[in-house]
Amino acid sequence: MVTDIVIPTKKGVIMRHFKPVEVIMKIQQGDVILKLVANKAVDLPGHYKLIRDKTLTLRKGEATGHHHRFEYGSAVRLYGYSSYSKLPDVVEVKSDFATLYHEEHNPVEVPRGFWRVSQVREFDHLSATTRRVLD
Amino acid sequence: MWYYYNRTIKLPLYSSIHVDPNTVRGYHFIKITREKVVVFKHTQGWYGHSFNSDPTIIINPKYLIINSKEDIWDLCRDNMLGDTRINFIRIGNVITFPDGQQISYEHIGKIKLNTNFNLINKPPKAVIKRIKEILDNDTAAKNRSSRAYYHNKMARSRLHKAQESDSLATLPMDDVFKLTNVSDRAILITHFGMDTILASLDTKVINKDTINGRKYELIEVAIPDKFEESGAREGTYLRMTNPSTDEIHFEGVPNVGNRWDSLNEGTVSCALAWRDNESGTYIKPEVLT
Repeated sequence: MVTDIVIPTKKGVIMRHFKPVEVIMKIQQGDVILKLVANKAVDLPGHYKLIRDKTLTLRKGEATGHHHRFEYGSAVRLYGYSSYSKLPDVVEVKSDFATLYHEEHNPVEVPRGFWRVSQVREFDHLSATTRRVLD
Repeated sequence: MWYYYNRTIKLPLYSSIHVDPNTVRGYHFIKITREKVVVFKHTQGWYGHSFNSDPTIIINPKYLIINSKEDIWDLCRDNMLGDTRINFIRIGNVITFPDGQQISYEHIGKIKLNTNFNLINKPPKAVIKRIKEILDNDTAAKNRSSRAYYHNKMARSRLHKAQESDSLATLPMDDVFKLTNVSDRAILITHFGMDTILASLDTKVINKDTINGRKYELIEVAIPDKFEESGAREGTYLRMTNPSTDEIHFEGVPNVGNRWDSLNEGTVSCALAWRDNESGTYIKPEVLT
């Protein structure tokens, strides 16, 4: 599948190995990166849960209230890595295209397929920490 | 030490006493002449015992000689040398004798001490040079720290006054680098904007590249830091133009180095790959807004 495989070890401990996935296409809108990992229907591992978010928000802004989101009513399904995830890690675009919006960026047409969602990070030299970029 | 010497010297020739200051080390005091006592060290641990074939200390009525500098560690740790102590001072180990004299641990050989455990022999030139280097470095570091503390205090005072009178614009921009409190610093960064602050600093271009028609520069910024000896430290940033708004942006990336969290190469593509959480080569986006 899209992201990882689960291997039971001799002691019965479940180890999770991230499977290197070939990225077919990459789209970036500001701080959000979408990587197309499968352009046809695939079975997600059991720990991925469907996020029932009608606003279809990928990532929320810091203080501005701006969101990276798909148009309301788009044929898009959002999946979180676990049932506790509130923001998606995988997006399935079920129609030919779905439009991704953000107030500060141009709209992007996202083609059909399974997309892994990640976020741009940056290094803060003043506090010597790595953090995710928010816009 | 002298207590054990006095006890040993009263015994017949070639008699010895055994002292165990702790469970891992022991010292054997052996009387070898009428006035001379030699001390052998033995260690015992999980993996077995070891016995030094050469005497650790040779004790005479008016002085004692420690044969190896490695033994000073153990003797100080076991409180066998009075108030003599060893400290690590920023860049090197320093031995301090009860009278206050300090020598560097490096470059020393045999040590001759008097009955109060003060140094009798003259330290070699290399030791004098090294101790000067260590102490000067320590003084400079303390001074830098004091200066940084002072500037932080003044910057905080200015910031709080400006907040009360609602005049943050009057503050100097480099107060961002003087404040050590993250919340205070965040107020100024929010007010001035990080990109404006970075644009005001000295920069050096490490690498330039054009990817998908967009110009990127990997730059090294001299960030003012009062704690540093040179007064500044390096910070690596990606300078780019936002394709949606045409604004110039700075995004911090780790400095180039061999650490696990450093950039492997000082190139734009390597910095972009780090930024996008990609291991190996940078994948160019087909759409970027």
